[in-house]
Amino acid sequence: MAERLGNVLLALRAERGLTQAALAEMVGVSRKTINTVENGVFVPSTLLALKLARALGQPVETLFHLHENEE
Amino acid sequence: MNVSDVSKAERVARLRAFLMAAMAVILVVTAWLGFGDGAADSARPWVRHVGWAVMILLWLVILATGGGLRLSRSVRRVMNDEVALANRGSALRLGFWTAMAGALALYAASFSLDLNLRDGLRLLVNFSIAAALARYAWLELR
Repeated sequence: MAERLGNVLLALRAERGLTQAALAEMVGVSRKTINTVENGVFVPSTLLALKLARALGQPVETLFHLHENEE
Repeated sequence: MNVSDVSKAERVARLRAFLMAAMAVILVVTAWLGFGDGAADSARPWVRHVGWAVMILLWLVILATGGGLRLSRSVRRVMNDEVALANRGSALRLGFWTAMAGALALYAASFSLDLNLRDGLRLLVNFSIAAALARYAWLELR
């Protein structure tokens, strides 16, 4: 059973009319970090996940969820 | 955190990655060109040896800290955020395994070649750091 972290960061960011750069500035990371988290390339720490959730005004479990793939 | 800090951090981080890529090439080329000079090195000016050691130490410090020590704390925080730290971790791991593989290769080569210790160490250090720098640059610029 392979697990990976899914997220709805892109949808929530777009809903709020925020660019990656604007969200990066709010959270205090680079735009590359926002991009890699959105694309599932990078799994953020709990701290960064909580900061993203706070910046987007959502609980962290709304932003992130587990994908379970049968292999 | 303001916009200029984030954009400045991104600009400097990109420049850092380009410099690392360039340095990786320089380290490999100089290791290649300088190989075999070890025995003759003793007669050369000490500046050459000190220069090489200082350059290696400088890049080790940059690999360990992320560099930009003269920049403001907020810029450095963005430059060395989670993704940058993960990339650096990956680069250091590759550097370590390159050093181990290189050391084993040199050990094996020492049975058939008359290797100078200084040549071997320079080759090992240059290639290991070049591998780490190249990996970091690739991860940052992809």
